[in-house]
Amino acid sequence: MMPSNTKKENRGFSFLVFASIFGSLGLGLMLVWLNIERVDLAYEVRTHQTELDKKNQYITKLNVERDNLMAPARLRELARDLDLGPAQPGQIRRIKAE
Amino acid sequence: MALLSARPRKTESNRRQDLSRSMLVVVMVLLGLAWVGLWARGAWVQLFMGAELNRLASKQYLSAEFERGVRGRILDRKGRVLASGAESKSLYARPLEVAHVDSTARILSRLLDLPVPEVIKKLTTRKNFVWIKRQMEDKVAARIVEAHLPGLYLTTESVRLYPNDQLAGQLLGFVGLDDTGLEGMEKAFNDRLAAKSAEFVVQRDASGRKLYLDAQGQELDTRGQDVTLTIDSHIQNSAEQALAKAVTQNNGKWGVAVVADVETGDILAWANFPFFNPNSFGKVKSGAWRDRAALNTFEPGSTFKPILFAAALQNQVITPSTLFFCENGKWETRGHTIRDTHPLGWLTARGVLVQSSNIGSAKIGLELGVKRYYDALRRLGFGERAGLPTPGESPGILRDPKNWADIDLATGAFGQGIGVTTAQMTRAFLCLANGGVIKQLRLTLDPAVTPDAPQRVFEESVTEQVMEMMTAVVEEDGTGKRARIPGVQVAGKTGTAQKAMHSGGGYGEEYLASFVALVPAKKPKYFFMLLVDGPKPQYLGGLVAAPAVRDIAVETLAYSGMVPEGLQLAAKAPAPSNTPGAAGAAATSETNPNGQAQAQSQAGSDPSLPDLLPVKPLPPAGKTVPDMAGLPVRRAVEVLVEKGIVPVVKGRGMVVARQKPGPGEPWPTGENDVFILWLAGQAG
Repeated sequence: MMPSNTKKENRGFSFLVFASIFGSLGLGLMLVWLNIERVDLAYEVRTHQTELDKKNQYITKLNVERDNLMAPARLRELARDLDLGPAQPGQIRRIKAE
Repeated sequence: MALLSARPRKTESNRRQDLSRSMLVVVMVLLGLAWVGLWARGAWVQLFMGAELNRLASKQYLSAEFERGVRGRILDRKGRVLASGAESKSLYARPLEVAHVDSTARILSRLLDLPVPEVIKKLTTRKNFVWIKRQMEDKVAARIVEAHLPGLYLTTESVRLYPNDQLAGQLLGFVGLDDTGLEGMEKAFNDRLAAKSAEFVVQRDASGRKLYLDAQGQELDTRGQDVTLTIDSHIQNSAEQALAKAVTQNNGKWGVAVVADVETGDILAWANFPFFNPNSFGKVKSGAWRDRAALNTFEPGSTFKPILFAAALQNQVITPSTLFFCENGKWETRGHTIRDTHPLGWLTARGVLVQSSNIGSAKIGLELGVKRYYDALRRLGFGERAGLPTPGESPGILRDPKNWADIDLATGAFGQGIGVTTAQMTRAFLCLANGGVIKQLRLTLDPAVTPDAPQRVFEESVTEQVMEMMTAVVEEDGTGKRARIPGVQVAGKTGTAQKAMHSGGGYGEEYLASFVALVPAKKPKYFFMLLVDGPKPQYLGGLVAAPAVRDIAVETLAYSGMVPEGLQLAAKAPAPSNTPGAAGAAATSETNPNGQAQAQSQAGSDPSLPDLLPVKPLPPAGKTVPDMAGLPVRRAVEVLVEKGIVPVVKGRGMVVARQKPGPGEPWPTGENDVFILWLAGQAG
């Protein structure tokens, strides 16, 4: 017959073994879950990255379009159509506000 | 007996136990061996084969991806974009995969505006890859995607865009399809502007899609660096418009115009005509790319005289009042004949410059001597590159002084036999405007130019005298009076250089008209220079180039808030200079080296002043207050400001409804008097 102390030690040892096994299993599952999440996140980041690149390209092209519309030569033509032109000497008045 | 009979049972039991133990030991040993074997295999795989297996695994699900950034931008001094990189779609085909060549070709022809036979030829080639159209518009690419054409694929390429089209086209240059700068600033700063490549490690999923699981490579900035020029888009545009007008109206071949900031040496405008649009560089002949302002060497003609005068004054060869006999327009010396456009007798040195006498200048040059003249020119930077980053900048032509004969010195004195560039001229005149200190020119703010130590070439008193003479060229009866700006004094010098013939046999019948100006004359802020090649029938610098420089100067002054006000104009209005008996005749003429005079026509009361924009007449401001009811408020304020009154404006609207003091009452004179305008409604 085993002494009661040895039995207790064996139970404790078994508990540790099972706890370790289940702990490892749990950690393993968590690792798998985290990897799946990571890949999902990577897909999402990739989608957003593509969208961002596309938007940045639009911004660049819109800026170019704006600069084209604001080009001095074009503004000059528009001004000419409206009978406007650079101020000539004598056409400017500076009035100080009180 | 009991003991004897019990003994064999125990033995049997013991034997079974022993057997069980032995089997257990065997099993345990086997398991132990298996366990050890597994560990040994694990250790082998991990420790010995690990690196190789890791490499093979990485190859299977990881891949390297190269990413190229966007080319840097070119900006003007105010941060306006002159050149920018963007992505563009290009279409290519894999001809073997194209199902219906004819129908595909028809669709592509319609979408891309290409001839059907050309598309069919590309689609039936035996190659595995063929470009159909590169760098197309986004909307066209979208239509091609919608068409779902088998065997046709879109890929992304970098494209260079110039939003201002032709503005500073030759200066900016352009980039080729491989994103390499081929001309202009694009070429000069290609290393800085060029996009960089980065290598990213990406993970591939089962379907080959790439996933960025790490930040490897993401932290790298692949964008090319920007370049900021000293050019100001608005001043550049003003210079280009005035230049285009001067060249086309005078039937010239080409022209260049430069505007520079006197204090900093910044090039504010660098214009070439005919224009060049770098967005479509492939559609024009390569001659249109030429940056003549940087590459062309020309004989400056009379615009060079102020430099001669500065050298002569510096060496105390002349004073402004030294007299020279101008041989009544024709001087035979050293076997050659030098002519003026009109007969001139005795003139002071100042008069020689104001009347632009070649004979007087030649005599000053001969008194100065080759060595002193050459030394001054070298110290001003002639004969060497001005140091601008424009590719292929010319050093000009300044021959060794040992090879100068007297006649070379005489003609060199009025700008013939010497080859200069616009950058060299700009640098030399900025030296005159900066009190005799020569500074480096700048074309870029970023990258910053490390300035050379400023060097003094002329005494300040010398440059003051030259500036005064140049002011007389414009403001008195000189050759440059078409450059006058009311309310602003302009210092300038005209030039009409006869062009050497390509055959090398002397000078022909073509001219290079030019004008240089420093504005305002007292303390110059801006330098202007404009050249027109081959103008006809008018060819004098004072008629062809001076009005254009005036236009650029007025717009530049207006842009920088330096245009004089009406009141300043009234206060500064000079007495008419075309009075009979003045130094010049009613019709002045400008010297050209061929001795041909071309009278400057004088029409109207003051022909020297070019037409201003029409200004509507103001109501007369007599002894009593006029009736201002119904006048637009702006006009009413103009009338009052002219009388020195700043009104108090009450109410809202654009039209004067009533006023105090009322119509017919005397003008208020006391300091405490208030002029009130009540407003209402819109101007009719």
